[in-house]
Amino acid sequence: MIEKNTLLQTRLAEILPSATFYLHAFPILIFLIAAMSALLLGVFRSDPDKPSFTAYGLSVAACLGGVVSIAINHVAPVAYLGSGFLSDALTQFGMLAVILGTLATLSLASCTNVGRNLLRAELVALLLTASAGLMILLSAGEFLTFFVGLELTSIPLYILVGFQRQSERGLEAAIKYFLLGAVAAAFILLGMAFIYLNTGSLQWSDLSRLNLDRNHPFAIAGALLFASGIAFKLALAPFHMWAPDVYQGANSVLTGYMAGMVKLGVVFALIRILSAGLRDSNGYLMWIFGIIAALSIIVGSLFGLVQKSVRRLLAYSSVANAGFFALAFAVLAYNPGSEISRQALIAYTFIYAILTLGSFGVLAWLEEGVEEDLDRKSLDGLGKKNPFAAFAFTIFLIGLAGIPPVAGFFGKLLILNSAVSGGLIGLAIILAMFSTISLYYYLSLITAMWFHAPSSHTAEGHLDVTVNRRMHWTIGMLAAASLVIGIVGPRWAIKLDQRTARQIAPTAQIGVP
Amino acid sequence: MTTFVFAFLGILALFLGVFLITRRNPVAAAMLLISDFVILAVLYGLLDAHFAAAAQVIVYAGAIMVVFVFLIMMLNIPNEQIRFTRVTNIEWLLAFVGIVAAVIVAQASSLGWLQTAFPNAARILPNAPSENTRNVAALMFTDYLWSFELVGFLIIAAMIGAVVIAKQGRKH
Repeated sequence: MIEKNTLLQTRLAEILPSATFYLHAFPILIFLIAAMSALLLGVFRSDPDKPSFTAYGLSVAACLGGVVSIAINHVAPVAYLGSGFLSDALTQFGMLAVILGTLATLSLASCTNVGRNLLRAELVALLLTASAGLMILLSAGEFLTFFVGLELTSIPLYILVGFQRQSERGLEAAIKYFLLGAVAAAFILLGMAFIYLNTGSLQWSDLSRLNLDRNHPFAIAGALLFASGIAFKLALAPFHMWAPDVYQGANSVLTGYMAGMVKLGVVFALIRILSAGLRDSNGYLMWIFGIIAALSIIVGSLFGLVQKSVRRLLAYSSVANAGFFALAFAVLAYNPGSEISRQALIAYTFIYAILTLGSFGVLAWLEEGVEEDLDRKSLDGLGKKNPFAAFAFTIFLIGLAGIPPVAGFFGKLLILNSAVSGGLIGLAIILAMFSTISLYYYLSLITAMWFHAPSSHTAEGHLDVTVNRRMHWTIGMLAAASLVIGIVGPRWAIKLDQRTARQIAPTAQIGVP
Repeated sequence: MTTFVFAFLGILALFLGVFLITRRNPVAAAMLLISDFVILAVLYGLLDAHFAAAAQVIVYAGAIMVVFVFLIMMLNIPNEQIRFTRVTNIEWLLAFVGIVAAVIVAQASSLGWLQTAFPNAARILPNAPSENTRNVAALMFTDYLWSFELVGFLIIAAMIGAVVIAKQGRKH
């Protein structure tokens, strides 16, 4: 017994992190601290239902602190706390993206009346917790922390979607999101349990022991369940049913966050899992992700054609765009060492997050003062009534469609390039073909904005003068980012992503400090 | 002896499960669910998973089911409001598929198929079965310390959520 106790103490001494852990994990820690402080300060408010500018200021300060700490940290790949927190270039880049996304979300929320509902102290605390969850998720090196991070993101989001119970549609969205999210979590857990049974370890570095062949049906079942759960979270067909309803019912500002940032976190974690040295010699994983990719792009582009509501249309566009993630997963599963597909995924998720945040931000702007859901008609002649919003929306739509000057093209090009060089030419052709079909609905929105005559039905997006300026700034920054990455940036971005992709060592190779 | 107890309790758990989903009265169903949970806890104990057994009794049979029963009583659902129509064809089909799947798994496990399906099972079995709780605790406070700490935030988030949504409901 005594011997065992000393063993335990030695292990504990090994595990307990050195001081650098607090520097490398600073963004996570400061987000959690800011969330709890916002909650505490909320206690002393006399009118708790009004937006709290203390909480808002606190969260913006936390974001800035996180950005500064990432800027001054120079990291070599290191694993802390078992492999609960991996500190490498991927973590740093992902954290930066999550922080910037949170900053954009907060800024958009402070501009519109609907969004300002989100700025109550307790809801800001939930948003910060969700962001911390995303950072935990994308820095995890084993299944348990991954799952805790995923739930730390999902649970606050269920609440943020559901707290506006006034509207029936919001309630429907919240219940659907919650129930299907819980089912997805159960799938992921069961898949993790089956994979654990096969490898005997939760660490991703041991995934190379996973036997994916016909003699081990439970390993295949585990991989299938895990992939389905992930597909739920990424809104990939055939698990995309919730996305249109939830995107339509939730607060627009929040929808941008849900669609953009959550996908970024999950995709980054999946990059780690798939490049941990899985041996998939029979190509089961490749088939799973390949079929999901083909279905997503088909469903997303065809169903998007018949949507009237702009939000539902954007939801189907997000299903179609997520198909590209699945394509890159298939390439990565087929060839775990494929640096080019890792790099394509990193670039594309980042670009996609910017485009989604921006397009839902513009929608939030246009919905100001409009009760009902926007349909295609309410965009008629927007170019004359509110040229700035129309111009920014055009940029985001062109980006989502994947037309050259905007960054979306460059992301899709990288993914298709990795698929072709990875040998999945048939899938690449399917994706390219159907994304051409989906051009129709993006272009029809753009035509409506610029070439149709404005009617009384057109949404304009009236805001106060001061608020309007901040809205212009936020949307303008997002649009500029997507243009700059698209025009000036490809070379810089490729280099950055290459460096990031090269630095993700499989967890086994990372030394314990 | 162990095999006999295991088989007896397993059949009892299945029987209670069927009994549970055919009750009209929600309180009776909840009580049956509690007894089913207790039997499952005993099964876990037989498998040397003592920690899981204790957690099952405390968390499921204790905390969650108490809230469940309170809710049923608070909402006061009359019996006939619960759907109790004839079983549709699809449901018969699903039940049939479920039974076939169960038989296949049972068959496979008797053929030792499950053993080959889990090649590393020996690695994850506790080296001293009687020290299961100790092993769980040792892992929780060393290798999985980070997630253990983070679960605290998860619970706080869920708690805030419950309050926010309940408060919102009272206003309208």
